[in-house]
Amino acid sequence: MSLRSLLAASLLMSMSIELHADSLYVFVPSEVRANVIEDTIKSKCSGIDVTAFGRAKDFATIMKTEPPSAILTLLPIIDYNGVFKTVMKGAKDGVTDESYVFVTIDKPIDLTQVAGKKIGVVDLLGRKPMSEFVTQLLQTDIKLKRVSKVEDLLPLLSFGSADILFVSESVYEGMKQKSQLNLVATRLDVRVGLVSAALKEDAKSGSVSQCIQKFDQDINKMLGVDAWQAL
Amino acid sequence: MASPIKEWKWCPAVLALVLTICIPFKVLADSTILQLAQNEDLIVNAGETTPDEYSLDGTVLAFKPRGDAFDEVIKGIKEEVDGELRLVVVDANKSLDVQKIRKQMSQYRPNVVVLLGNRAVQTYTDYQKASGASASHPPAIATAALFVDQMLPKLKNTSAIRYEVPAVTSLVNVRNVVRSPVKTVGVLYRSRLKGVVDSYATYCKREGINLVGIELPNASDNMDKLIAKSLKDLSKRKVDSLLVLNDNVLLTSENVKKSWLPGLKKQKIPVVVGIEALVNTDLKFGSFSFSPDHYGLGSQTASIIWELWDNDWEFEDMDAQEPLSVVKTINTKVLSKNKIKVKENNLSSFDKVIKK
Repeated sequence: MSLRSLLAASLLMSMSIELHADSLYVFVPSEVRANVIEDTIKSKCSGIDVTAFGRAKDFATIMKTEPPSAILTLLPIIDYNGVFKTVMKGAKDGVTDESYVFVTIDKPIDLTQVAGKKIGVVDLLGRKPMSEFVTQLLQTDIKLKRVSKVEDLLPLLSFGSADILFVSESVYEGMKQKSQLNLVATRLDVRVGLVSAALKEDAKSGSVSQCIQKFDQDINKMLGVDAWQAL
Repeated sequence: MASPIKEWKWCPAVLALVLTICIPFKVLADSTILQLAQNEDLIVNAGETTPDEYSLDGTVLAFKPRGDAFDEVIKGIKEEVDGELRLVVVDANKSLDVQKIRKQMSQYRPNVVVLLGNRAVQTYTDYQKASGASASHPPAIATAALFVDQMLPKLKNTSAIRYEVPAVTSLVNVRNVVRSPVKTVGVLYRSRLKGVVDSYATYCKREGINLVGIELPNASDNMDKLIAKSLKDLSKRKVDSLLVLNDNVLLTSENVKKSWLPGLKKQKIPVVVGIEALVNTDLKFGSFSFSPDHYGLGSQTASIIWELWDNDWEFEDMDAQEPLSVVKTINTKVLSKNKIKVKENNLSSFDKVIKK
């Protein structure tokens, strides 16, 4: 084998190692199934090993056992994990967070009467951390009813298993499109970060950032954003 | 075009499929056994208890029949309580009896009992009865058992999560994906399920869906004819969709062959079933199926367990809960054949999309 072909083979091998080294885990609670999110992102991110998760627990478990080089998830989850550094933030209407609301049926909730109510949420972090996270956001003691899928929020409320839902404005809008119940939102002074991309400390951002920049309107809509901001 | 009955004869695989579906229903109804467990002795799956486990915040004793579905329920519970509560899983097979339950209760002294499947619920009922009227029992949660409401009044300190997917959950999802209106939905039911259907109708009404029920007798020698006539009646009333309940008597292979398939063939509407096998394209029966998400049932059970823990192992509310999470399947091939258009963008919310 000539020196040139040896170098070429060596270069190809190193490229291949780098490509395989990039793994991206995606966890974005949504009505869209994880396999659909995964396939759609894969189509834009050749060379990156993309895996999407539909449940917080599955995501948290694999983050411990087989941490990836990058994650694409909501900002509170990135913050909770600690070891990943945010490199890109998703934005909607020019801002990188969105407001959260209380949702009830027929009547808005009296904010002085929230303590002791059962509050339904989509689980992002697991039982204890999620409870701490929501308590911190709402500044009151609450009883949390967690569901693993966004679509389970509506039955949670309509069957009376929760008194109130605590959801993002976009989830509320989605529920109103789906249901004919008289869903009422009570505005809160609470904003939570949208989906963002974060890297493990020693990982290079190149391929993941390039992949995200290729996201079209459909993928962004699926992820609840309309643009990306590099940090 | 060949008649449905002829098609049926030509397709032994489909016949086998329906028999597979319907025969267990028959067994299930006759003996209220959800699953035929193998005849083995009780097995404690949790392994040896280490001293550390005694320092956990409480013990959950679960009676579980064999089967993947029940394993998923346990997985859902385990992932929520792992490391904080001790979960002991006991095999609720055919040989489960009052003595064995008593032994496990005495050995593990659980803070809460979980009963999976009709056999475990029934045997635990017998155990409570045998323990005497004055005996106290830890809180128990029954789930993955058919029509568990009917068993609850005989149980002390027991709550439940129903196994049947509420009609409103299914129909709201159907409405969300089909382009045609879903305002009036037909359902056939036997008298014994009147209460269930009435409760479904109440929830549906709040969602702007009118559930039109036709009541059939609990038993009849002419059930096939009654079903055929009722389907015709619903067709005349121009229902937008049809909900088919998981009822072993209405869904015998004979009734499916003689009444359901010919009746449904004439109605170009979404047919909603509760078993995924019934949305098989070759069967030409259902176009949607909504079945319980067993992992979700486990998570929901764990949620009740944590409420109990929070309340010194006492129920705040013992009412049976509806299952929150479902597995959704859509058959776009069957819908397309019936000229029912779907909102393509909303297909991504289904767990399974059958296109062929």
